[in-house]
Amino acid sequence: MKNNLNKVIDFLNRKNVMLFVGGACCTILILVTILAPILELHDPTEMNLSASFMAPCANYPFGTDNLGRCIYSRVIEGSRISLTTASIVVILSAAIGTVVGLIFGYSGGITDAVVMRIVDIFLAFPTIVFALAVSTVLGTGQKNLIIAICCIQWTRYARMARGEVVLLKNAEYIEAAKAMGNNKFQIIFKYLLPNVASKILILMSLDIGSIILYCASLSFLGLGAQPPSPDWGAMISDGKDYLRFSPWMSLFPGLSIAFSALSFNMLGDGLRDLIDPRMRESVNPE
Amino acid sequence: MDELLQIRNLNVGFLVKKKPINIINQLNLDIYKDEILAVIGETGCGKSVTGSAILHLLPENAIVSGSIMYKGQETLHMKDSEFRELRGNEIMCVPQSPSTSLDPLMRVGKQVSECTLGKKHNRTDAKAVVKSKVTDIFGKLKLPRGASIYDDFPCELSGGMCQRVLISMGILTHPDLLVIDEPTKAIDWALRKDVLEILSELRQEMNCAMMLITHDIPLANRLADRVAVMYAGEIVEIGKTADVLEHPIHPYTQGLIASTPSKGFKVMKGFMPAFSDLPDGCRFKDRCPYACESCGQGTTELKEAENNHMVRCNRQIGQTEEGSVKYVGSYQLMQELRVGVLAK
Amino acid sequence: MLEVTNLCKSFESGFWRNKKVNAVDDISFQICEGEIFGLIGGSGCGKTTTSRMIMGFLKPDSGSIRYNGRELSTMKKNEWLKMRRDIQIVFQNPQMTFNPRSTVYNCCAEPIRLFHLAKSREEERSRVYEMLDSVGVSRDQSNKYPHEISGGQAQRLSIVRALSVNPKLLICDEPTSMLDVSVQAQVIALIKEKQMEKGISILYVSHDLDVIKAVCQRVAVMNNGKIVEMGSADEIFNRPKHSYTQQLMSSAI
Repeated sequence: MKNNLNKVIDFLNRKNVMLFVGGACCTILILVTILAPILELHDPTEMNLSASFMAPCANYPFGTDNLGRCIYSRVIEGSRISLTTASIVVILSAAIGTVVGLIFGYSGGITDAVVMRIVDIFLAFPTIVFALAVSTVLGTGQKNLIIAICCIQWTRYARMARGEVVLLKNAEYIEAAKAMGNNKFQIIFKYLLPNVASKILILMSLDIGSIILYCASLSFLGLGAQPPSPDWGAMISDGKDYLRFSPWMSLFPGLSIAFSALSFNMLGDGLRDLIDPRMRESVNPE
Repeated sequence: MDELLQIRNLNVGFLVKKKPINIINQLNLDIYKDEILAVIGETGCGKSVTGSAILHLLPENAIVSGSIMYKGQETLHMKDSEFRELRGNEIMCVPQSPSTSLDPLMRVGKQVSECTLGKKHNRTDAKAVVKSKVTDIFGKLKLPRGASIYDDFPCELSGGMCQRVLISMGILTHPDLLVIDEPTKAIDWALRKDVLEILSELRQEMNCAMMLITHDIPLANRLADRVAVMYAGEIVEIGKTADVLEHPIHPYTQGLIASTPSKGFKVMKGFMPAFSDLPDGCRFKDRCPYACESCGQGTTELKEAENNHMVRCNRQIGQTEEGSVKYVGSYQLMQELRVGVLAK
Repeated sequence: MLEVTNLCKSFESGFWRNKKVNAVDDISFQICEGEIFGLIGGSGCGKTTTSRMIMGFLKPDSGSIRYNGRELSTMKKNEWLKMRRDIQIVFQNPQMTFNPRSTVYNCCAEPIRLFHLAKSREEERSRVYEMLDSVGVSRDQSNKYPHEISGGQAQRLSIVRALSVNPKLLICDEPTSMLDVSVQAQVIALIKEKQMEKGISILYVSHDLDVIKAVCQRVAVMNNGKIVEMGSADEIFNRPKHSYTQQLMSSAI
């Protein structure tokens, strides 16, 4: 029994099942976003009051909502909104954070100290509370939601990149590069960036999952995409009043959020195992 | 002399990208009671792998065959749980790189005493007894501040002190066999002298066989009773220290000795081949100044050149400057001869 | 050529920064044109700190480092970039000297690209191959990563790479302490050969007396941040005067 369990764990580790499953799920998600117009059965914003609150059936696989809109089509359309928002947020915050972390981490000194204390202040707030505050100031809407989450999310990348750089900048090959005659920016972008990139990529893929959740929570609170555009968080919010007699209104968008967050997290875990050098076999006998 | 450890036909390989790469090839080695055997060779020649094979410390992707007999007991295919009773009691090791071999968050005294406290039959030993034992050994190894060092963390000690702590860990249980891996790698000149002194003192005080894995030839010369020279996973020459290091027969040993700074700094041509692409026949032939056609075919066996001095080379001894030495017979033959002598 | 006078550097440590360690304490020496100058000492005696200060990685507390009459310790960063062509360094750990994420070819091509020594891709390629050939690294190994080649190969490559910009001064910071004896002989032979060929000056930092004896013309012995004895290799090795030097000599095995 225990032996079998070990075998299963061994198999999971060796084959990196996480990466395959996560990768497959993410590919499905991305395909769905691209193929959304083909997959949709109805216009996601089309109202049909005579068909409101319908349970899942052949015509409406996920049922309909209070205004008689097809939930299946809305969930599919919603994937476009969620995934694009999440990827824009991740790419933007990773780019800003990495550059800030690399430059200030490498320069060190007083500017580094000041910038990192600012980062600390950002990190002291719970993400959702801070994003809520920024959104309230900027107003509702997709663009403002992206800005709000980016505002706080970049600090994680800055911390990560800086931590790595501080470790790396005393490595011998960095000194060798300096001795060779590279200037500061050559060292940062030719040497440090590639060495930090793998960790940043892993953090990005792990982050997408949580950012999908943040976006959903903010739209649930009414700060994200505005009706009638179908956003998963907003759909759950719409369904909450009718939860007792038509639970499918919240159930299916909820499942989609869970599925996409899970797939991106699995992909991130898989990538981390792949890149971790300790997992690699080696021949070096010393 | 009694053999403490008998290694016969040991093969060790590693699975790399699903392909097995053979590292140690048909290794035969005896370690006698109370002797110091130095295994010398270049980085990556398989000397540390041999040590790990004896200690059951090979990584998971290793493939091992052959036999390792310890006091007449086969250990190679022992379960880890059984072997653990030997390792840490009768067989101990002193790992290389003192700075990374100690747990940085544990007090050194505790780390040293752990190897006795962890054992079943020693559990009755009160901690105080162990502590006094440990401080005794610390004192013996001339660690400054004998007792108070017990509560220090490894980072508070210098490299040489860490090395001594590791050695005391190795000898605490009075092992019969101590495997010491590269005790002088990347350490300072003065420390190297310290290590030499500690080891030679130990040799006088303790009845313990040591296998000294090193590439430091002067150290081997000063300490060892016998020396085995390894090249590309094979033993190319083995014999008494004076025989091997003063009158080397194998061209690799000769080259190795000539390349030490004090012996002329002569450069050996070529490099050790990669294990994934070894030449046919003699593994040294591409670098060998005496290589001839017959070196390219078949396997070269270890042959006895003179009393207890074995060499893996096709060359007839008469052709070299060492005219006085001649081959007596094949390795197998000598093996039988010795058995015969012992039987009488 | 290189003149170091009254160089000092101390590091602060301890919880309140109250402990001061004088890593390098008032040292002075000169290196002449075409000379191999050895710096011996035990670990932690300040040898590496000295070489790092000469390379400009550390700022000295006081004292001066003059190279051909120009002061290095107060030099601006962009002036330093030009100086890099004249002063190069070889580090202790050969595999750590190369960027682990770029191939051997790119590592070797770097100085050529930085100083625009090659006019075209083909010229760059031929120069890199020349470098690889001169140290016996086969051309198909140029697409490997630094950890895939052996320590000896990496160290020899780092020497020819440092020499590819034709420096006037080469600093060797324990270049052989991580290597085996047979490889050590190869590396030292390479350093000596290149030195004869190009007539450069070398500051050779090591704790290995045998190596220093075989390589250097003049030697300084360091202990606790101070130079305790300096003279020709012959004098130091045959007639050591200072007690520390004598102690060092006696610790030879």
